[in-house]
Amino acid sequence: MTNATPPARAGALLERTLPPGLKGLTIQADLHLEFADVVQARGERAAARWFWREAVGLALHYGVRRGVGALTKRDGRGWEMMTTALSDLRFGLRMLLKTPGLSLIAVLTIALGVGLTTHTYSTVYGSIIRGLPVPGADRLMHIYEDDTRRGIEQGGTPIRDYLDLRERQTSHEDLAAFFQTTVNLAGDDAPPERFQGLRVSARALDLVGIQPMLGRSFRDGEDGPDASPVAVLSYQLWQSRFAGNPGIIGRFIRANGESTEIVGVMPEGFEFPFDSQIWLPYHLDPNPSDRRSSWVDVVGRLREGVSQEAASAELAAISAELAGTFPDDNEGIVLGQQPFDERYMPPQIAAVFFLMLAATFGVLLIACANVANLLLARASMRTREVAIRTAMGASRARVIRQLMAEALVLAVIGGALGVGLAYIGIDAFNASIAGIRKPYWIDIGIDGTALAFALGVTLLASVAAGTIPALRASGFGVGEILKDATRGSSSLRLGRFGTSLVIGEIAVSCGLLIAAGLMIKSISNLRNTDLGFEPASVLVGRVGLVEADYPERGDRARFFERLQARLDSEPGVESVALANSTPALGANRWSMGVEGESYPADIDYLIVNGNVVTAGFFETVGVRPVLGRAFTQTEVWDESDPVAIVNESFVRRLLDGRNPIGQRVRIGRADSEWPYARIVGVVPDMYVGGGVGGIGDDQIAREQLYLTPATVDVGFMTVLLRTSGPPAALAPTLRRVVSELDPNLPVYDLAPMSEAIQQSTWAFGLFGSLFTIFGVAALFMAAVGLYGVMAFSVSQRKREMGVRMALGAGPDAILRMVLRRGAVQLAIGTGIGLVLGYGMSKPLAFVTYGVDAFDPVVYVAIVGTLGAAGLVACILPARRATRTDPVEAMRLE
Amino acid sequence: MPPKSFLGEFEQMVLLAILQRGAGANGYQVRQELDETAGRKVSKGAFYTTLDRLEKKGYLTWEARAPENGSGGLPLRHFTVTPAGLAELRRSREVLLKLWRGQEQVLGG
Repeated sequence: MTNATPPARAGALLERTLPPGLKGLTIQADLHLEFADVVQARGERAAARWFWREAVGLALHYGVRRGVGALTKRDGRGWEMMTTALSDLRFGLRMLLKTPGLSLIAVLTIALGVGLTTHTYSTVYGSIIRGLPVPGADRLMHIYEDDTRRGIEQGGTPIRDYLDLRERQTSHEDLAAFFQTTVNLAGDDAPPERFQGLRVSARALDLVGIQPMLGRSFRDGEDGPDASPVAVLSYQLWQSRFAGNPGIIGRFIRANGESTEIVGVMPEGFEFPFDSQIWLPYHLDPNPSDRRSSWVDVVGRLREGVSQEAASAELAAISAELAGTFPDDNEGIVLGQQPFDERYMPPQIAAVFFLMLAATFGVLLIACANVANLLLARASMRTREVAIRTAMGASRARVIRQLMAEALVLAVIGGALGVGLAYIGIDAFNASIAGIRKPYWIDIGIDGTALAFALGVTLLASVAAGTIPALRASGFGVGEILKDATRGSSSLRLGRFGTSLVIGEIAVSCGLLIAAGLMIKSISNLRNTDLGFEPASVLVGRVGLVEADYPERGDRARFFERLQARLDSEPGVESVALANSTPALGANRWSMGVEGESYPADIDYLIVNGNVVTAGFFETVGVRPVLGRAFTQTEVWDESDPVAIVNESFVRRLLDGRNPIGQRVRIGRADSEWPYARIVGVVPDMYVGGGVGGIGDDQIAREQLYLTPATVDVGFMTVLLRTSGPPAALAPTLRRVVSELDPNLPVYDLAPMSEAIQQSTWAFGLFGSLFTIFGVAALFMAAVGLYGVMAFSVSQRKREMGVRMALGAGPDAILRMVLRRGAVQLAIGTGIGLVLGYGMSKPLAFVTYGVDAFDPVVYVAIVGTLGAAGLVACILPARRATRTDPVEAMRLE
Repeated sequence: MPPKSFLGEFEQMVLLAILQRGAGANGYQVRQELDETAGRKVSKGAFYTTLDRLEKKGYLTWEARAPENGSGGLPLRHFTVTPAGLAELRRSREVLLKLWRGQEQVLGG
């Protein structure tokens, strides 16, 4: 038996629409029974969708029955209204089928508009609007430190600051602290595995406000340095590794080599704060010798009634107090806070999401304008029909209703198709982000809100598209039109209204296309970025040694040395190396100094990207030193003679281009206990990467410093294998060799390097493909709109063209005349669109890579595309105009 | 009681599905039976409306039962075909059998 429950909102919908009393309740009970079976068969997500479909189906069924019943019971009038409405709808459908091409375009246009809007709304809702699924999420704050002296914003907080703050502050109910880590699980029957974990202060889970579904959370004191290890599991980990065994509480497992008691299991779907599968107390020393050590993330729960501003003011005051008491450490440190979900969803990314939403509204607007245009064109062809109806006694309201009914039929069909499109889109979107590490609360699906939204949008579309043509078509004196058919139709020419619609469409699609173009350009920039190394044919995988299993530095060194040697002799391995951080996936930040230089204050020391690598590293990633040499096998493990390698930017900027070979550098600042390392070589710049989904600052040309494990003791290493065949084929070899050396050690993040890099830049691909879809949809619609207007105006001016041709105008002149009109609209629209696109490029700058807001290639390409599409849209009706037979045209009407 | 009209095809199927499931079948079970034997998905709206109509005609009755595991704490209906319903089914069957007589070779079966 699962404990899944159907979506609550769908349940509420049923309660409102099903027959009252026992009957309704039992129908719901039947649905619940079936829901449980669907969960078993197809999983919870699919079952929730199923339930929604059924609920909406039943709601429609009973809602319509009740509506019909109410109308028929009241009196004859109600029934008459019903039948009139039905006949309007039926007639509307028949009229639409009379011009199938036009109706198809209109339906497709609405479907695209509604589909994109629903899709984007669902995406934005699931990733941002809904937010953290914890009680009182709006009062959960992330507290960070700005280091004004070093220019670090929203950095972590050292434990001493956290504890002092916790003691002094009053605006939050309580504070808690945590840091992310990975946890190695072993010591049960399953093979060793690595999980995303969180080290927390004792009260952290209680503060977040979610209680374990089994067992307990942590007790005060369990986060002390000497407390015995305990752990709380996520529901998913409990299911996958312990088969959901309820007897797990009180059992011991090996977590990072320590025998750890499992004390609790969190409810399903809880992976606070990002994607944690296991929580452990942090065992930090509350009084470290260095005030600026043991960094944590701080989370606070704002007291009811305390504003964010008041809390921020208090944080600033406490920062000043601390700076006064500990000037050496806390000078320039300012505590600040932000809503907790912004810790993992930066406002800049949220801004892009909302920009996307605005862009889709633009598309929807175009869709409505197009449909309005198409209906307008048709309505004017029917002025005579309308006039006759009016003359026969139809009221104006009746005529308007009939025309609106047509729009409604279009909107409903288009809307239904659009929801279908949105479903496909959401599935594709979810598939594209399936393998990506992302905040656990991001759950994107079409839910009740999105459906209601789509319905609202559809209605809006039909009203917007239907009102104007209906009003215009019905708004003429009957006699006038019947008197003179020719004037009747020409007085309804699209005129300024239709023309401005098309100009607006072209402008919006041009703006969207420019945004899409800039995004596409950044993806190609990113893909073509000279990484500075060769990721093809390289396999990467990570191993982490924990102190419980490898207490001495020598143990770790010996393990890594043996691992490298063993892998080197495996068939298919061309070269092998270990590195503390994987190139292009981020790096350490070290402060450091060059021997002989003077650094008056701590702040004057340099900050560089650091990595710890073994011999063979540069060979493995396909990089040759430009000066000096690479590390040798013996010196990387030799503590007596530390060596270093730097990149070209390092030499250029930090050594002023002096010959670096033989210079000595040291990490740390004035009181550093690190040894000096002698520079033996210079390598080209390599792409560093990192950031959220690859989004961050451009990090290619930052100063880089490579040291050896003899200098910096590391427990975590990425194994890099250059292979003679496809890299993925050697993954089992890497796993086997590691487990032969230590059966309890898992290999994780195992992937061909190119794939790992591509994945790390997912956000660019994501936004890029979304904007491309919007842009292409907008282009399609603008072309349709232009075509519609041109075709209509040509058909309206047939008579005029006939006269012109009869008076001697050649086909060329006619063609020019029609094209000129299209070209003017195109030019004005494109002009406005360029300005629009330029405006959009500003907020987009955060998610573009190496692209200027005014990138000439993009702008020229977009203008060219629009021009070509516009030309096609104009030339078809224009050529039809040249084929006008003057005699035929004169005889018209 | 001279019946005004014959049972509709779907009405017959619903009554027979209740009989197949045995006394006290709930709505979900009846519908499952229909899905499995008729091999087609039945719209829920049509299904419950048909149940109401059959109840109004007096061909079936139901009583509410306590919630079961998985019913979301909601009561269930257990359906029974009434003697009138049985008689009506029998009559339909006889009519159909008479019409079928001699057609086996043409129509198979």
